[in-house]
Amino acid sequence: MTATLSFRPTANLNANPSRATSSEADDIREKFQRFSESLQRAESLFAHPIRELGDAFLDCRHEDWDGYDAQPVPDEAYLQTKALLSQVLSAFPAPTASANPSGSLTLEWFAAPSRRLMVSLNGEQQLAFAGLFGSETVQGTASFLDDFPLELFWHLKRLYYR
Amino acid sequence: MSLIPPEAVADQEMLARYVLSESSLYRDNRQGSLLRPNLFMPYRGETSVFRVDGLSETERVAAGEKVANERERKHRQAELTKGRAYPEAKCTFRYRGRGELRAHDVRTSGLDVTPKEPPERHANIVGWPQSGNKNADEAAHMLFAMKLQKKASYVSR
Repeated sequence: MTATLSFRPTANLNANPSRATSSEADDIREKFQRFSESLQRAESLFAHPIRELGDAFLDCRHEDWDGYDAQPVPDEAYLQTKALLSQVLSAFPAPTASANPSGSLTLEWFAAPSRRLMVSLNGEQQLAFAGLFGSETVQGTASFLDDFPLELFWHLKRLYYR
Repeated sequence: MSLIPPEAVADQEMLARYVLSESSLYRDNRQGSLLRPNLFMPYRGETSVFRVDGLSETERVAAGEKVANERERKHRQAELTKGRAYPEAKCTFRYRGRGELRAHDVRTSGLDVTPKEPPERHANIVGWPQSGNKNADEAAHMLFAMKLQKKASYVSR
């Protein structure tokens, strides 16, 4: 004997729609549809900056990505920048991501045109940073292996919580 | 090609840095300039700009499109030479606007502008720190690039 089982997918809320035709059924169907669509649009709080970083990397993997002979961004720079980003997202506003012609990825925390911090990572042990704090400027390098550089933490704190 | 050497860049001259790629623009809906500082970052110690004084808006756009078309042609050729597919319809670089700032703004930031022709009206932003320490130079360049970006205005396409 062969048993025939009905297929009931569990992933899609609208997989087995009601065929009822009352106005209440229409209303419920519409609410389910909206809920289902909102689930499809949902992403974690930190997904956007991670995705932007991924997009920046994909746009800059080949030489001359800017039309002005820029160097390609290596895979190591992406992994390193993603690691740094994931350590800082819960503490400070999300930065924007881009690349520099030297072949590094950059994160920029922007509070105002005169208050901002840029960090550049090329996959090597040292990162570079520069910031504007009104009329005062900072620039330098810091070591980044596993722990978030303390110097950067203080600059970010100063940028947002002065 | 003119045999007459180009005149030195005067302080009041307007310079344009053409945006050829979306990667030089912020993608959020922020107020103010959409130019990213990386638009002004140097490569091999120079940032290429065009002297646009005396050009109408139409001529400035035409000059930008000419630069973009030349870069696209070069890029297409390079991709095909490497054996990569590059469909006819594909276009990586196109004119997407420009950053404009005065030579005076470059100089008060601590850099300089010098003419470098051909092509006609071409100049370079020079004087970027070159200490030999790659990361220290990158930090210094980012600081200068932020200063330039702050003074530049974005003229969209």
